[in-house]
Amino acid sequence: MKYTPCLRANSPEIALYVYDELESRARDEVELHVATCESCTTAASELADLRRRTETIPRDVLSRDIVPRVMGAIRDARQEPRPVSRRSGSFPRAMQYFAGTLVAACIAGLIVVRGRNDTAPNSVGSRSDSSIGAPLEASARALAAPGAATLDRTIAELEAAAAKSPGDQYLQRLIARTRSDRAALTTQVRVITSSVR
Amino acid sequence: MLAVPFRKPLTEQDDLTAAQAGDHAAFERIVRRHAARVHALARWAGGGDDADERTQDVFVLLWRKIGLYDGRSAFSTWLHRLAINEINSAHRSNRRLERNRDGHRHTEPPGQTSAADRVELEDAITRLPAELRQVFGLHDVEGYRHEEIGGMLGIPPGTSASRLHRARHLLREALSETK
Repeated sequence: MKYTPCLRANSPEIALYVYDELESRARDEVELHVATCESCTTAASELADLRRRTETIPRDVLSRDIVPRVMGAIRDARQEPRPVSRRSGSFPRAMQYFAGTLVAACIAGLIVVRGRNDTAPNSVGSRSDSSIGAPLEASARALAAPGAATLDRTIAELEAAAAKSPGDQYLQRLIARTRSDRAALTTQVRVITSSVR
Repeated sequence: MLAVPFRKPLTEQDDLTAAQAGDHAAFERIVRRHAARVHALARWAGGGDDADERTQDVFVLLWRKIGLYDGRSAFSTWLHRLAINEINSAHRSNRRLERNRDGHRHTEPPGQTSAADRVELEDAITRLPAELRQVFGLHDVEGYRHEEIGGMLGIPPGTSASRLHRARHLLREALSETK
């Protein structure tokens, strides 16, 4: 670009003139100036060249299949396990621990309840028979402990993730579900221990 | 008088509420409503060639994050910010990949002078700073007004106008130097 002694050559008004963005009066005034100023004529001609070239660039065309593609991608994303947060990868494992613990606790509970039913008609004193009850109670607590700890950790992890994404309803549902699982485990252990006593 | 069953047309707010509850049809209507602008943003804020892919990524991200929209700002403003962040981050990682590759450049297609002119201009546009390129593309190529661009990029219309002036000036300089 040549040296431009006229300050107006680089001003927005020359561009606005070339791009037909001036009102008629201002346009007439700039047109008169451009006609008599060499540097502004050069600037106007370079801008007109830029405008001409810009018009050869096609406007953005939205692919016809963009909406089906987006919806397909969302359906695919739904089939994959939905990431909760970067730190919550241990959640499925926590559920496995919990399921295993719950099944074990249920079996222990059934054994105890059946034991009670079997012994009840014979003697009232059998209720306090610690030779059967105490080991079962201890084993129920021991079985439940790792699952409970894992669930507590998972709840803390999910709550930390939820604090970072306050409106995430999926996280809230997970927290509610995990809390309910934790409460179910506590109830289960309480049922077993009370039935043993 | 016979009562004609009247169904109120669905507003964007209805669709947003339904989409936040997991309604696919409502979300599809939101995608249809905003796809053109997001695509234009992806073209001018991102690399250009992969605007379809970037648009798809933005809407998949929107599906995951739509529950976070709390109505404090206009949905379009919120979506465009989400889109710009996603597009910029994808663009940055693409540029890192390109830098790691061999010095690959677009070759100028043979043929008419106008095609060569256009390639030259497109090359100059890609060398513009991102904030100038976005405004130039959205205004001079796509035909959006400064008010609309301001809404899309989260800047005042006056800033959009001054960025456009700066972009035109730099492009004019770049093209006149190549002559």
